[in-house]
Amino acid sequence: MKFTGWLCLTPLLAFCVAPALLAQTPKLPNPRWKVQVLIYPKVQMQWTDTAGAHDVNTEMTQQEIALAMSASQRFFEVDVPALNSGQMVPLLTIALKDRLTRLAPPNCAWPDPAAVAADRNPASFDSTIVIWKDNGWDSVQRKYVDLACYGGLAWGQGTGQTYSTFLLKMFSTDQRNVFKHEWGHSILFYYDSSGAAPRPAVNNHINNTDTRYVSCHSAQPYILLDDSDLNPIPTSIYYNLSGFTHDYYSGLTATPDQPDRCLGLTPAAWASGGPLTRPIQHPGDLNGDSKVDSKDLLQLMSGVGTAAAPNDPRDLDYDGKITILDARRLVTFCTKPNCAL
Amino acid sequence: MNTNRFLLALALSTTAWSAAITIQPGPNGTYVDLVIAGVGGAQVGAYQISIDYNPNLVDISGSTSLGSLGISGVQTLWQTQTSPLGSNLQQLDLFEVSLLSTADLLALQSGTFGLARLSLQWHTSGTALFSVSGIVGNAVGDPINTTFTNRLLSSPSAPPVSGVPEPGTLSLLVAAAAGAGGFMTRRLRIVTHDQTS
Repeated sequence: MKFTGWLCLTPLLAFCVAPALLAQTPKLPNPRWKVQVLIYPKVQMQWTDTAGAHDVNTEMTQQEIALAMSASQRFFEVDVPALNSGQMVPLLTIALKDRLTRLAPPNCAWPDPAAVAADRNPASFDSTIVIWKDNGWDSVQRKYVDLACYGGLAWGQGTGQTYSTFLLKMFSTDQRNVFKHEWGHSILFYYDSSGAAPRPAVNNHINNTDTRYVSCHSAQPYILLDDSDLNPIPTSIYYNLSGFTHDYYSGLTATPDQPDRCLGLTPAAWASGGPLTRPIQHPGDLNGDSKVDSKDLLQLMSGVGTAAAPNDPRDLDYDGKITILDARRLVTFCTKPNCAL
Repeated sequence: MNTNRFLLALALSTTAWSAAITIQPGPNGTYVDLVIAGVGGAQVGAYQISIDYNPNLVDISGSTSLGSLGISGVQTLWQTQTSPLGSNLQQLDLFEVSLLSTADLLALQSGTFGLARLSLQWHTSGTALFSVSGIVGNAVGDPINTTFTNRLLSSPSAPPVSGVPEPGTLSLLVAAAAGAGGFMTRRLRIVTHDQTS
């Protein structure tokens, strides 16, 4: 280890060395959640109830499909890293599927985890999101209907792949609050089950009566309003850089009675990874000989340009690919200078 | 730790700051240098650069590191069969990983500096386009925001050294190592002797 410089604020040696040491400690980023967004442009539902038979078809326009894609991308690539203070940047895959034919139950219908089980692929993704369109034409009853109620739903999945669904009509080009809320449920469920987040888990149905929260340490209450890109409201519910959702995504919210007990998804929670993607143990030691050297580097280099497998120990930046950047990151973990044997 | 990186990314995203990789031709068209500028306070710890070119016009017959990542480095050169940009093109991927510490890199790099020199073998007179892309990493392996500029190069005024395309040194070398990674041909060299400074 070499020091890049000395940061001396006092004549005491201890206060000089520590900052320089910290600056040179090799480290990995937090594991990146692998998220897949499944967009179902069509719904085809048939059922019979007391009103008679129903045959409902819904279909997204090309513009609506484009909106679903762009909103997903904006949420996972911009909103989530901002909300969690940069502690985790998800790795997003968007897949356009064919149609949903199973919703349960009808009349207030949602695609539950079983409805899309064939597409969820928990061996490759930490989290699945489903976007669908619920309003369409009932060709038997000859009227337009809304199949769903609510704007989105999330199911508690324990420590398994998280799952949440959204209605297309609930977001727009300038706000993705339903994403923030429902995916917030997902990650709260997961980290509560894994035990990596402080308890009690945050209930993200904040209100000003029985589910109240404040900003940790400052005890500042939140403004209980929805905001949007065009009408940002700092310290509101969904504002990216401050407010309730930001604070529970960042482990910085608290209950009013204990404002110094920070709750939510703390740095330790994000560092623990997700349902699939786990932190790399012994980073750089690819051949398991308890040291990191040029043998490990050569092993990594032979895979440059290929896709990383889930929890691939060569993918040191968790970006799903083996690249030259992983190689350089491995060098920072070498046991001896110049990665000597 | 990631909070700091996020804040840095935010800061960088609000500016037009970017490093730039360009191709600078040497005299008589016999070689080109890959040059980087504008890395700011970062050091280049690794790079992976792809160059797409028409092998019927010119061949890249070899490469040399210009030492800005240190003499203790890993340098790999490989050549795919065809470029994704066109069936008449070839793609050369050149990459290097420094084994040096941040401090040692700082001593080697400042301002604008060269990364690698590519030897050229012209097959015919004329101009050839070199399309450049890739990734550049800093000393800890984070990506450096980098722009890549394509370059149209002219053949030397002297008659071409060969009128018929033939396998370059690189091709022969990589053919010998074909199958090493199971997916492409490559030449791999690793040098781990002690750094002298």
